[in-house]
Amino acid sequence: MTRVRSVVANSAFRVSDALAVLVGLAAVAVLGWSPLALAAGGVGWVALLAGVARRSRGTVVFAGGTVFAASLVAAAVGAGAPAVLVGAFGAVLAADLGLFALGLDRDVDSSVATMRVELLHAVASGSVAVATAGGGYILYRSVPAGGSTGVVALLFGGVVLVALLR
Amino acid sequence: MNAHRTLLSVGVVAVAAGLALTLAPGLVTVDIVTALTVLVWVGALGGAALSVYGRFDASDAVESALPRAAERPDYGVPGDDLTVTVASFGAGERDAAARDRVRKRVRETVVATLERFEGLAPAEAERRVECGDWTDDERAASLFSDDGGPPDRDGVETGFADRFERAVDALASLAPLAGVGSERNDPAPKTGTNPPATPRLARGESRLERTGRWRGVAGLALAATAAGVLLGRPVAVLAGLAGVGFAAHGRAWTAPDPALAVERTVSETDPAPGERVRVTLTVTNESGRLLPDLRLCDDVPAGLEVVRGTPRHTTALRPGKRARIAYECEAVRGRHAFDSLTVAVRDLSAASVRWRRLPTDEAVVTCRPRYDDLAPELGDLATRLAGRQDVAATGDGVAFHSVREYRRGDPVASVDWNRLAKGGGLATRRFDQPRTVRVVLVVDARRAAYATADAGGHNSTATASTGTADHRRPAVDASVYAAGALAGGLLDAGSHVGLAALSSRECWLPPAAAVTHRRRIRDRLTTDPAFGWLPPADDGADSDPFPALFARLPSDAQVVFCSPFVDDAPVDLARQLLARGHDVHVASPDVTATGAPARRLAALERRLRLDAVRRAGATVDEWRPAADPSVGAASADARVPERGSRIMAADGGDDA
Repeated sequence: MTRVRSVVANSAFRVSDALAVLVGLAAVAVLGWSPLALAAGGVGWVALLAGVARRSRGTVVFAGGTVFAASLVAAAVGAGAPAVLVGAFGAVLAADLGLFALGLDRDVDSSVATMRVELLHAVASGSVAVATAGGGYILYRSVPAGGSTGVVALLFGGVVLVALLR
Repeated sequence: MNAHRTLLSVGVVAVAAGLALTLAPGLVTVDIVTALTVLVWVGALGGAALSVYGRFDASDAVESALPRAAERPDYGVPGDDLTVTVASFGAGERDAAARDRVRKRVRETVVATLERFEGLAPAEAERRVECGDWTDDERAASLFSDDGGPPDRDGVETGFADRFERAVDALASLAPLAGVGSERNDPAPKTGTNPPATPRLARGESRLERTGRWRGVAGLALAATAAGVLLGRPVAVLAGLAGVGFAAHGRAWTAPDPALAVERTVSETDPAPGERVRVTLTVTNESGRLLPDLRLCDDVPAGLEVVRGTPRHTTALRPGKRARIAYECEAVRGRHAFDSLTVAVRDLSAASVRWRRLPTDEAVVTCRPRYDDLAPELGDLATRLAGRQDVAATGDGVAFHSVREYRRGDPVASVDWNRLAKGGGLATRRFDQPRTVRVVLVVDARRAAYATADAGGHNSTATASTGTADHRRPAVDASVYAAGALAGGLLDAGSHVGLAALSSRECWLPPAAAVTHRRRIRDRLTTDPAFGWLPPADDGADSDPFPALFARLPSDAQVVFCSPFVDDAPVDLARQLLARGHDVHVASPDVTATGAPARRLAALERRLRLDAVRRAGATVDEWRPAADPSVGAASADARVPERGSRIMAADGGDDA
């Protein structure tokens, strides 16, 4: 039997907004053992809340950048690889989800059901985050001591090649 | 070797070196490692800066949005363009010429107002403006004189907007009968941010866009690398993987080409004005692959407003699955063809979007309003054909007209024998000769005539959720209703009636009086594209539509000219018609607003234009339109009588 979806009422606060806030919170939470990183991450998370509430793209991007910077701070003061990875990927993922919700605002009214599209996007972005972070962590753990320069060169080359993939 | 190849070489070398160093850490000496580290750090910082700059450089990162199909076009309110212009003025020399143009416009209006309402001679009116004693407000007077203001010191002029506003206030006090008082309860002109751009696609056209969504994310990797190298913390470099991963994610996908089957049904194809029409759209994914983010918007024809539901929808659609949307719109005059659907498909990362305006089977909704029958007061110009219209001509009628001296050849039967018997000499009695009158209804449908007094707003959400529309209605629509009503009255009176559009979109119906002609005229008024809800394209072709009209207009035709008179072109046309010997009757819907000074200025300018054509010899009827004919009974109450003008007895009685 073919199922036909109909338009149903939906809140203006979208699923992606909630996911963005939760992911951002998780990213900040893992940085908690460093007060400086936690403070920076907290600022980012509050900015994320404000961006979602005010429907401001610029604020959401700023929030993602701030949480990412907090993960670097955590790395600088001795955080472990899992915390840094969760913080960094969580920052980008939170900004992505928040921006996706704002993009929906421009195209469809709040009465349109968008959960299906939002969840699909969230699963796709989440999968990318898990796969990349997992692969990076495995590589990091498997590199012999003193091989950090090689990782740097690998990352730099990867960025250049990605930039050329058009 | 171009930059692309250079970068590719750098990337490949870096990856190879990275692999080598990772697998064999002791491969190179320490000095080379240090040099490479510094190089990478500097390069990474530079790349990060460039990426962050690209992220915030929004010039080409703004995504297109689905069309705002639920609303009527955004017609301008007369005067709002001037409000925006004056608000943009600076005090410097750069805007001096533009300020002078506005000053000249206001000055001409002041002079004309002094002539019209104070009864001054032109020279005296000019002198008063020059001296600044046309008003008690020195600040207002200083807009045109050097006495009270600082204009023109090295082209610098401060306080122009304030003096402009004061001058318009003073003008309003000079013209109390013009209905342009300084009440400020109307919404202010829209000068805020523009709505998101919508893709302008021809029917069947498709386009792939990069959204710029992941722009700059690679900069995170570079920044993390720089931080890791600087701090000597390899774990920081790991954070940069987020940038690499999502940058790759954003470039790995391309939005799929949607193959969709669309089925549309409308609940009513011949609705009455104001009646709701339900549109149901079923979209089936026939592309054989998942469409992860499908956004679509039914292309609702211009003029129709969605009052329930929404024509925009989004979903993820697996192959063979269907989605259905339904919405209701309120019928208004016109032939409305639903024949396309705007579709946007994004890839999984939302980095690319494929726009397509999908052709669909045509569903036509035709809304034929009921026009009242009103007869205007015509002039004496008539054909030589006998008819039913009483004009100045004399001949073989039965109603006595006058007596004149006998002339050789006058019929014996017309000699006034009683007068001769009383010794008054030979005289000839003359009788009224009803004639056939030709009338051409000229409807001003130029781009400038697509103005409205209802500012409206971009609030499709409110429209859809509250079920109320903001009823923006252009002057062209009011003119069409006026023409339709006058056509009926004129045909009832036995006139031959024709129809012409003053527009780059041609519409011409020669004068006739057949039984079917009334329907023919009203069909044209209802469905002809010249009177549609979208203004003609601004291609310059409609800058002078007069010659085509003059070429077709019979020399013995009177003209009923329906125009809002929001610019000077209608005045020129009326004068030229009068100069060519046509009797001209003006039916002018008033779409001027109050509130902002420039709006009041536009209202006063319109009054002066109507005065000018009245003085030139035309008769003028004011037509104060209702917000929308579909609101029914409100239309009669919305007309406000105005001294010196006649108000037509009906407007937009389309609630049949």
